[in-house]
Amino acid sequence: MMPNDKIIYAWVPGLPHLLRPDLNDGYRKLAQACRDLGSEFKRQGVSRILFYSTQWLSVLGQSVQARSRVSGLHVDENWYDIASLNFDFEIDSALVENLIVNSRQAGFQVRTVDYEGFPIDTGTIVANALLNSSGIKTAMYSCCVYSDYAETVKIGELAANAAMKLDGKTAIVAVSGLSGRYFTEVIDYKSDGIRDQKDDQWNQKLLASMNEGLWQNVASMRDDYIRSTKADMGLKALAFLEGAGACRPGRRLITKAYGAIYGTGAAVMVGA
Amino acid sequence: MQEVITGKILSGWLAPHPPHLVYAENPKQNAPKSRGGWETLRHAYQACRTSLKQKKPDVIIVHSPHWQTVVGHHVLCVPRLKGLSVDPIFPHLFRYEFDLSVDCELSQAIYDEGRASGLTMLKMEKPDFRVDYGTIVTLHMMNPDWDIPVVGISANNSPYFYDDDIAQDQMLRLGEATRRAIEKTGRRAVLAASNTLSHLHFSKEPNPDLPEDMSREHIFSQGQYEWDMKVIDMLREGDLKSYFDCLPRYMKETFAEVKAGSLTWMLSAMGMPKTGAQFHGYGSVIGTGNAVMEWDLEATS
Repeated sequence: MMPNDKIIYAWVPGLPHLLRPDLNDGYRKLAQACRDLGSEFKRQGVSRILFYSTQWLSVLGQSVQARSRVSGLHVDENWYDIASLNFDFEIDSALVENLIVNSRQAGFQVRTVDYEGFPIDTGTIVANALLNSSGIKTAMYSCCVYSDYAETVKIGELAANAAMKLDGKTAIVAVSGLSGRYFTEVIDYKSDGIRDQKDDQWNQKLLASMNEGLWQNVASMRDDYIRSTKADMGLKALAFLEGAGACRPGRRLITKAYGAIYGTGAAVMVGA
Repeated sequence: MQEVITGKILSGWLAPHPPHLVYAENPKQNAPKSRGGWETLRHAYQACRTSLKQKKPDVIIVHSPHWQTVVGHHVLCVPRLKGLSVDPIFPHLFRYEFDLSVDCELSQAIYDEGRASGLTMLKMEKPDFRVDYGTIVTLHMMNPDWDIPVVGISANNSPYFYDDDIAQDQMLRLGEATRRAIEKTGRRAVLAASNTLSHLHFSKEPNPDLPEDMSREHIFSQGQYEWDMKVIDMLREGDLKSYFDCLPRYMKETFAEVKAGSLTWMLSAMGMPKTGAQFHGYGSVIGTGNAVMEWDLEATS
């Protein structure tokens, strides 16, 4: 069976501005695209969502969330004035088990996270709030700072294999931004936009190639893109999705919405 | 009429924040328990605890690299913050029940003075805010009784996005603003720069089954060790010119956490003291270099 029979790929932003559509029409469009994607998950009968958020960082190997239910209130360290984030995740224990086994078999040091009060990252909370109104089970895999692009591709691959072993469809969702140049002053949210015009051009170029499934083009521009735009976590989101199978020949990542969040680039993309 | 100035900085501490130090001490606030470890650094902190008991400051002000903010410099401004702080990186070592009192009048003054200096300043006024582990570890290691009010200041992350000079310049101004705020509010303050020195570290846990396995603990590299010793010597000798001259290279070659600006902020607040710091101890934690050092401004004056 081809992976896409059982896996849906998506890439969404994870900043809390999306939960405040009243602040900026661009935020509203991005949030609506996420909600539409969530409706599509529901329509297709997605059984679980695996989040790979570039805001959940690990430094000593990999981490997998393993607590069966995670709930609480999260106040973001930067954007506390915009939103206090309530969260409630039910974790898919079968997928967690497979992720851990596959990671160890691949030679990764992996730590299970099963602690009351563990700070779920803002990106995962925001993405889940927009995509998952029906309480679909979830899983979370950390973004290891010291895993380079190639290693992150391997992690994406083992994650997809972990999902493939299970019945039902899995949505593999990378939560990350594009260009990473924030405004560093207080701005009027209504005036938000991509901070640098060149960043915007780079983002559009990258998205165009992904929309067309021109993966060789994407690979060719990747390093320049990362360096030029200070891309969010060195495009590990792309590496993860690539490993998971989203970037194989004939596949595409279609942009459903694109905009700016506090100067950075943000897009909602779905695999096709 | 001239403004009456009564407040002053009593001392400043280079006070690193590896959560391993709290874990190793087994305080009642921290859930995970250990067999000890990292004693050299923990014993070094004992000097700080003794000093604080003698000096009885009104407030400890800590600048933490683990409250990393994109827009400007933030100050804690809620009278009491209480909760569970679980370290997202080391949750197996640090799950700490914190309960701290914030000197909001001083926070407001730092905010005002920072703004007057042209800095972007914000006040964090959400009571459910989870205080970062850098702030908590430093404050616990300095004063485990938590009987002195605190002010927490974030680390603006400009150095990670722009260049080293931009942020260090801001930290100089933030330090001066902090000093003016202390003077105007009449506080007797102790400062804490919550910085590790060299910051390249292991990418895997040396012994996942026993994090406090000291047979596996060592500095990341000889080069990193030599850099740390050079910097410690400069600080001991009060040779801040040499320190700031070599800072960009030090940050580049060892990924030194002083890049976050905490030490620069503190030195600036103290008026760039000419007298040297007292060195209390050095040790590695998962390969990073950490020193506990003290500038006793009262003794100097």
